[in-house]
Amino acid sequence: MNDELDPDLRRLFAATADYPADDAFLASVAAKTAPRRPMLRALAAALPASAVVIALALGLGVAIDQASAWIAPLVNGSPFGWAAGLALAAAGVVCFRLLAPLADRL
Amino acid sequence: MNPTALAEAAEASVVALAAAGDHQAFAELVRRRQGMVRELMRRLCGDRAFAEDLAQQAFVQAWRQLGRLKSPGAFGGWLRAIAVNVWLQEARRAPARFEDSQADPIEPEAQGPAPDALAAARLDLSRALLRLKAPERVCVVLAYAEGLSHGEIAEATGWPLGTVKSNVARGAERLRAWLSPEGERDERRA
Repeated sequence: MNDELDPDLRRLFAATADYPADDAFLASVAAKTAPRRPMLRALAAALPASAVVIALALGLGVAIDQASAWIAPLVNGSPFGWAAGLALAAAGVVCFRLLAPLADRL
Repeated sequence: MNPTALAEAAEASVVALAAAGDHQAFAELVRRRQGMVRELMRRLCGDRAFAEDLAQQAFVQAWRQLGRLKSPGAFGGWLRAIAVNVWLQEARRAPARFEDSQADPIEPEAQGPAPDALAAARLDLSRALLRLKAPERVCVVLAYAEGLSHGEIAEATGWPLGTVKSNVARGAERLRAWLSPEGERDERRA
C-alpha cells in the first residue's frame, strides 16, 4: 500500500467498491472453460496429423509417377539394370529410415 | 474433492488442483476471485456489459495459462496481472472505446439499493475515471482501488516504476480536480 496516496480518494474508492457475486457470471466462465467431448477432442487432435499424412501421400504418389518415366527405361534398357535396381532399392531403404522418425512425431 | 471441501480448502491447494486440470477447482477459484476481477474491470471500463465480457476473458486466459503458474500462492496477483493485460490489450486494440469514452457510465441503481449520496459518489467517480487516459486510469485504479504499491503496479503492467509513479500522481490530481465542488461546477457549465 502506498502511504503517499490521497486519503480522501482512497476513502472514496473504498466506499464505492461493491460487487455482488453473480451466478450467471460463474456459469458463463464455466461454459467457456468446460472440457470438450472426448470424441471431438480426439478428432481435433488427429486433424493436423491427418492433413500432413495425406499431403505426404499425395506428394509421394506424384513423385513415383514422375520418377517411373525415367527409372523404368534405365532399369530395363541397361545391361547393369539389376545394379540400378538394387541402388534404387537401397536409396528407398535410406529414405525410409530417415523419414520414419518424422512420421513417429506426427 | 467435493464442492464443500473445495470451498473450505486453502487457495493454494485449489490452485494446484485447477492447474492439474480439475474444472471444479477452477470454478471454485472463479467463485472466490470474481468480485476482484469484475470490480477491477468495472472501474477500468465504466461500461458494465463490456466489463463483464473482459472479466470472463481474463478467467478464460487464466484457465489456459494456469499450468505455467509457478507458485500457487501467487494466484491472486497473477490473475490480476492477466486481467490488467486483457484490458490493456483491448485498450490498445480499440483506443477510442477507452480514451475520453462516450460510453454511459454504470448507473448506480444497477449496483442494488444504495444510499443516494453513495450512489452519486459512485457515478461521479465512474465518470471521472472515464475521463482519464488509459495508462493513468489503470495506475490510479490499481493504486487506490486494489491497494497495490507502485512496484506491484509496475510488475502487473510491465511499465517502468517512474512511469507508474507519474501516472498515479497525475491521474489522482485530475480526479481530485474533477471531483471537487469547483470541478463539478465547471463541468455543469461546460
